[in-house]
Amino acid sequence: MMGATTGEAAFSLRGLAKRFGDVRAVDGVSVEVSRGEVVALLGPNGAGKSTTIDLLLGLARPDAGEVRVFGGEPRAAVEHGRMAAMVQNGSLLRDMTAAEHVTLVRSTHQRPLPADEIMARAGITDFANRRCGKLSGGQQQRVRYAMALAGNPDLLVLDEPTAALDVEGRREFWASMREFAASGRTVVFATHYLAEAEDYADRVVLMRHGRIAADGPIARVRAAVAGRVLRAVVPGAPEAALAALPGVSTARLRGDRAELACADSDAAIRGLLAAFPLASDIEITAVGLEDAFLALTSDNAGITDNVDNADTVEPEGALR
Amino acid sequence: MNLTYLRLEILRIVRSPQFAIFTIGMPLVMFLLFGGLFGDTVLPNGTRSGVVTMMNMAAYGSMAGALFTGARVATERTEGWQRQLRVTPMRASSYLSVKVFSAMAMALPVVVVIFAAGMLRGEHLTAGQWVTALVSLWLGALPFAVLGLVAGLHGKGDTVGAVTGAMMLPLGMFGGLWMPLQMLPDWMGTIARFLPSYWLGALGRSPLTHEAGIGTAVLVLAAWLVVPALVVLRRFRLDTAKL
Repeated sequence: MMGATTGEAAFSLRGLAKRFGDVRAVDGVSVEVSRGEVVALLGPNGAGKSTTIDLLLGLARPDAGEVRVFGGEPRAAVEHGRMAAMVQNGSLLRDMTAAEHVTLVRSTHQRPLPADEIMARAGITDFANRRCGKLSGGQQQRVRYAMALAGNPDLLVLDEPTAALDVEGRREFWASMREFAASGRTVVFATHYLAEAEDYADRVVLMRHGRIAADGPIARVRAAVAGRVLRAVVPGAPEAALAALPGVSTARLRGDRAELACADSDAAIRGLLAAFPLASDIEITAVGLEDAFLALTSDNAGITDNVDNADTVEPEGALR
Repeated sequence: MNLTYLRLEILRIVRSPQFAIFTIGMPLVMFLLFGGLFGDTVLPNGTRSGVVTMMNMAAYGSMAGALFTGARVATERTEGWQRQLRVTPMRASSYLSVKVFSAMAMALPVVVVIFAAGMLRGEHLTAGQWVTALVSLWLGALPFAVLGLVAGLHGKGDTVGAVTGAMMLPLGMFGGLWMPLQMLPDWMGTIARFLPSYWLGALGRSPLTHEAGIGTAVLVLAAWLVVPALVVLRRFRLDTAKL
């Protein structure tokens, strides 16, 4: 793990809610992040990640709930240079150079880092004097990263930071982020790439439909969401009877072929053989984190389409 | 006020000169045209028409230069630059004052260029008259800078550009900047006295004609400054909350 946690809170979100018309973008989110943690806010598009981040940054006001950053209002943390961010849909000025953007942001801080250091860390030195209108999407993203680093923040908030980057750009970006986090600083990043959450975060907060679906170290989230699927040919078995077997969350029949989503596959197979001794072609497969992620974050997700309701793969209250 | 930002803003205007050229070019061409056609006519109050046209066009250009800051603000808002700034320690008041000052920086060269053209055409004013007119026409642009902000904080980039353009017409026409108010129906003259453009023109002409009480001009322009400024402050707070 990257950061050294001190136990003191970098920020806390309590009972946050935000709706846009009829859509509950954020619906009861509570998270506390300690100093030094590197946290991934993971979820598909529309899960409420960006709205949560806007609330954390004070760019939007919650309908209900409270945001505290280093014990105060979000805007105060931004004004004191303690919290900085790379936001989505933030643009640069086409007719200003990369270096001028850094100059501008430095001028807003009391104690900014030296311009050279900012540009070196963000990897923009090579094109510092080019106007931003002439930079690639990836280069512009790095300029925005440089702007976030300018005040040497204690908490860095990154909304889909690698969205515009190619493979090499991503690698460099995360290397730079690691270096930043290694100095005991707190980082929160939103992503819909599971691999990024797995590789770079100490802790994963999984969001779905504006709520937190799971929250914890990646290993625990994996254990919580990853179940097993039992497939077998079971002649003459009614679906309801299969679903009622011990350890089985949901069951689906296609002809004689049963697919059972299991929270406890050992119990399920014992129960299956006891009730239906003629069951054959039995196969048990683990649902990978990728599948579990899909299952958790969508209603009728891909590979585990036998799992009708994603909630069923999540053990009761495991990680809330 | 963030002077670094103001410097960069002015640099941006210099780097994208198309806009400035248009803003200066239009009143300049109108001055050369109308000044050339009717410049030597002597008005009933004894002033030459050319010098009045020069003041009116300088007022028009100063107003346009300041007003069009709104379109820039609207573009920055829709494209996400304001969002970008909101995650820096820069305060809204700082952003707004930089915008007002850069609008003023747009207005100044317009007046200077038109006065220079007037000098070349042989308009004679005392040094004191030149300076008084320059300062009045420049500072008088302040309400228009804030009006531009009002538009800029309410609409999208292209819309605000069009709206600002549309505002210029009644402001110039009814404000008596394009033609003497005496040529227009009385009711238009009545409207004119409520318009900031009329009083801006009056302020510019006053060193020559002493036609209007400077006090009234300053008061009307101040009202046109304060009310939009309150709208801007209110709007910027709401806008922050909305994003």
